[in-house]
Amino acid sequence: MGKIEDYRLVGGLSKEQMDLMHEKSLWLVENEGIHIPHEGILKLLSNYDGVKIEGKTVKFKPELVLDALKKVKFPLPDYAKGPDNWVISAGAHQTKIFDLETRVLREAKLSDLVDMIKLGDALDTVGSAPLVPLDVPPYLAEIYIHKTAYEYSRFRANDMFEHDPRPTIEAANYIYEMSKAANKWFAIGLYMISPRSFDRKELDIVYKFLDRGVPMWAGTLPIAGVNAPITMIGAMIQSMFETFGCLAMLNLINTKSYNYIQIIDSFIAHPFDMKYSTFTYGSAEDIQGALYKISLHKYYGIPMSIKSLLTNGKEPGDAQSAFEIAAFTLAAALAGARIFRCAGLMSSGETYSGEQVVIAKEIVQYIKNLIKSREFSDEKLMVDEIAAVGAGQSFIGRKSTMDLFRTEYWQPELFGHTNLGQWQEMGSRSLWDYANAKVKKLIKEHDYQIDPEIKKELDRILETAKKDGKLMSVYN
Amino acid sequence: MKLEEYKVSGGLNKEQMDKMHENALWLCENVGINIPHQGIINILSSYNGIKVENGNYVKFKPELVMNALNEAKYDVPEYAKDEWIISAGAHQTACYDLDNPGRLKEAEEKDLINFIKLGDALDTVGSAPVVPLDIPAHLQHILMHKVAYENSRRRCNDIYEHMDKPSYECAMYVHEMAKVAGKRFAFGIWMISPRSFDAKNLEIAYRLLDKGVPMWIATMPVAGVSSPITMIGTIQQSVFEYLAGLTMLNLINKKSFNYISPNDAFEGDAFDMKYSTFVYGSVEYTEHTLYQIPLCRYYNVPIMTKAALTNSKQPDGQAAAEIGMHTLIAALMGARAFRCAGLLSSGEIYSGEWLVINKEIVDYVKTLLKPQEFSEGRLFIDEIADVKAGGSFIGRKSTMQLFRQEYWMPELFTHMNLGQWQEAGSKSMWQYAIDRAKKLITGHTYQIDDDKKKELDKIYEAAKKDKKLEDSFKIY
Repeated sequence: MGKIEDYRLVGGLSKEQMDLMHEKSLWLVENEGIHIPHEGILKLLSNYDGVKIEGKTVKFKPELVLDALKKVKFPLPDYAKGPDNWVISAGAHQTKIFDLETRVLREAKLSDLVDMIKLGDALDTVGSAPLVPLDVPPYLAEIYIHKTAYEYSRFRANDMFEHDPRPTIEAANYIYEMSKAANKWFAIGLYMISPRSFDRKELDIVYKFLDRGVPMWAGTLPIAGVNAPITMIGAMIQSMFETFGCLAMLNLINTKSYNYIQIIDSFIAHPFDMKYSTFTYGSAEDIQGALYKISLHKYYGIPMSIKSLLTNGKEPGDAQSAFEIAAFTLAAALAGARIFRCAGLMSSGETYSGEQVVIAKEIVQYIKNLIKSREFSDEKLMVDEIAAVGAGQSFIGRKSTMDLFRTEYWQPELFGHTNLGQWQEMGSRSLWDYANAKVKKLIKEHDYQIDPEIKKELDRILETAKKDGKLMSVYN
Repeated sequence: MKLEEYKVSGGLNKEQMDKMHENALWLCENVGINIPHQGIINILSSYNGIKVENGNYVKFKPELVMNALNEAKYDVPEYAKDEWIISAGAHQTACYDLDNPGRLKEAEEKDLINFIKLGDALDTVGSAPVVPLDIPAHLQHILMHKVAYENSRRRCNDIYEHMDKPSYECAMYVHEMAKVAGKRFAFGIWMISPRSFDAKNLEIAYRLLDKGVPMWIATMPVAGVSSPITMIGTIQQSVFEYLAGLTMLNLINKKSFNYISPNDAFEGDAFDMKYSTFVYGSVEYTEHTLYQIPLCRYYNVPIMTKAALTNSKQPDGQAAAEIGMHTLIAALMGARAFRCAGLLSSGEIYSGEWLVINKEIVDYVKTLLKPQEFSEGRLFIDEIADVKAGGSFIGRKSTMQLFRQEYWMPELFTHMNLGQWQEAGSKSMWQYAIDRAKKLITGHTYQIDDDKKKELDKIYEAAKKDKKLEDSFKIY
């Protein structure tokens, strides 16, 4: 007896099916190749056996892909290791936010960035900066994003869950310098542009960082029916093919550090609604794609981060947004995922909401409690108690009830257990109201600050950047 | 080739359920139940294997229990054999006013009619959704059945009906109406945990014994109140009470069949000691469903889960997250019937708009779990090879042919982007659901045959003038 067997999701892609997908992806890398519009990188690649270059199309022998897959390294932070550590990544540089005072949607400012970073830190979230501050000059936006993250949070922009853009080599240099001053993580990411190409500017940043010994990662975001086949499984093959091509390239050119597959955006396919011409994050098909992704990550032994907290709902605390992220996260968690992304994002990433972050956290806590291991024993079955309490009697005063009522039941913070009368007496507040109050409280009480000496150094770097004509000019 | 269908493994195993079954048999034989009705005690006394102690305490030998389980019959309607079932409503007395969004009010006859129509338009089943408080108490249940018969095809017409018949006189009116309308009639007995009954409820059953009507047993032990504090202990008590209650019915109701009510089979309710409230929709209530489903399989009882029940007060994110997770995990465990759609605040409120959202959630889950094909054709390797860097899949024949069928188009959880949503009026999810509910009510057309309606009217008029019926509702 002892334990009730843990709940887990079974089904989906079989090993044979993934073997086939793997073979097909290798075939595409070898016979179709990827487009690399960068002369310097092409020159580096031309030195290797197994690489065939036709114009800007580069084809890789399977051995090179398999070698790259063998050499990948995933430096997961300790807090994310093991099945008992659940991780929430919040934000992905949104430009609009629901104002905490007026609840109106508006452009994000630097003060919002500070508040949302503090909120994220108070909730132990990780990842990239939640917002892009639109009230600072564009050439400083990325620098502020990192500086604020370093100053007000422990985990943010500080490990492999970070995926902030480095739009120019000049900005990348400043961020690199700040990360060294603050002793924070730094990596360069490379997103492919489906089908099977790259942005030339991004390749140039990679190229110019090859001598720095920084980790680099490969990501891709094919969209079903747009830049990938219409079926989710077909779009997934496109993603595998592209990821393999990109990783093989990085493995050959970035030899002074390690390379990896972006655990967030690899083996991923995005469903697309042809009626509205929109991404449909949070849809049933998006979950199907994530379930393929989870199987493939297990197949390749790669850690996984699932975009299950992303929704197309428009308002914090509404039924659509909460349902989509709850169903998605539960399915992913049952399949073995413990790292969940995009908390706070609404409207498929067009908007950010602090309230939605705390709701997402509540949902993740619910799921964690639901699928935790449970004991099965005579002590839990309590047959003696059942026999002892006669008709018309009560279990309320039993010692077992007194001993266990606090530990047997989870007490949620937002999903209250009041009855109707109690809720009305407490002001008939909406879920959005409760979440808003919690957000404000967490921001107010947040107290983490980086060491003042490091802050001074970060301030100095920012001041230099402000006056940097070259940095300014690349954004013009 | 198909992808293996998704399901959840884990939970109670056969050995553990064997143990619970043995415990329940032991409790039936050695502890027994309280049956406060002399007529029923007299009937039971004539059987071997029954021990009556202290007047009303009845103990059953295991053979009698096993016999009752073997003889139980479940007349599941044809439509439930291949459809997903939503049962909506459970006679709530408060509801949200569809014409004044957000306003709670007492339910009236017109609400009963509208919600029955709405439920029928959405193919829901079950009992009447609301109790009309604007008519005399002794007529309420009769009217609830009458309106259900007149305006819906499935409601109050099969094993999913679970409405009270609070007095014998009322039960006889409903019985007469059911015969006229060609609808199903059954009588249910609720146990009062721990291990007892309401004497009046038993008296109605006793007086119906010669009518040849199916009877069902149900119980709802509450963890820490009327059953042990652990959920598994509460379920153990539930199994004991169901087995004992069914055995009693099997011995006394010989002119028809008897069964365990699938609507509440092996029910055990979680309870919050802080607020003194039922916490439907909570982690622990979902945990109860995960015990309930394998037990229903173990005892061959059709599975009906209360997955659509939530403690939220509004049709909001809490409500959607709670029922979304509960419904998804229940469906992954094999459930295809879901109860209590439209209920909010753990059953204190009914909401038409919430029913519409419930339906959307079930449709979403159904879409997510539908069987998926896996074939080389669907991988589209040739297409991927054909579309080069910078190319697009939008104009491909495969995209044109498949984009409608590959992706589900939700009615409420739409895929609009932010701009489209704002142009469409920035309506909340709540408002979208209200609009849809109203449209469905207006567009509803089903009506019972005119002749039957006339006969039902006649019975209802007789009930209005029946002093004995009126007296049967008086509390002495």
